[in-house]
Amino acid sequence: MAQLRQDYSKFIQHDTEVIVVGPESAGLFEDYWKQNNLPYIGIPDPTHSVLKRYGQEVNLFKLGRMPAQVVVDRQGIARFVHYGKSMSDIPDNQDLLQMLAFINEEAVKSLM
Amino acid sequence: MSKSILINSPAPDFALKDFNGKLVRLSDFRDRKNVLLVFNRGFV
Repeated sequence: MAQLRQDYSKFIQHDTEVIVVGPESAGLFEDYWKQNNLPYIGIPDPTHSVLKRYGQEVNLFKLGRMPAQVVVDRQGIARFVHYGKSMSDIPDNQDLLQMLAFINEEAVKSLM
Repeated sequence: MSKSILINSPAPDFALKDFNGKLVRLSDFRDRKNVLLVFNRGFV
């Protein structure tokens, strides 16, 4: 989360909004966002409706939800999907930004 | 059993309120911005 905050402006430069969805309540989200001064959108999903729809895995042995990331382009297409195999299995922001640069170049070319 | 999202397939739309109570729809970003969806592993 801290790494995301650090690179948030780079995501904005890449014409990309960051949305974090989690199972916590709105109150816990608010506290955490304020404490950490997070700039991106935070969506509490205590009923797990979106989390389930996107197939976020729960590892019962490791007692928690595995992280997952999905890059959605302007056409609403999932261009990158990563389901973490462990708590720390999170793609590097640099890799995500490279992928977004590619998606943006492609979008420009399609307009030519 | 939950379903996984496939690459190059439409991302399922959703409409949920953010913690400020503002409705956020994935489709609101269509034709405007890319979106990085992060499914949190829990911050508490």
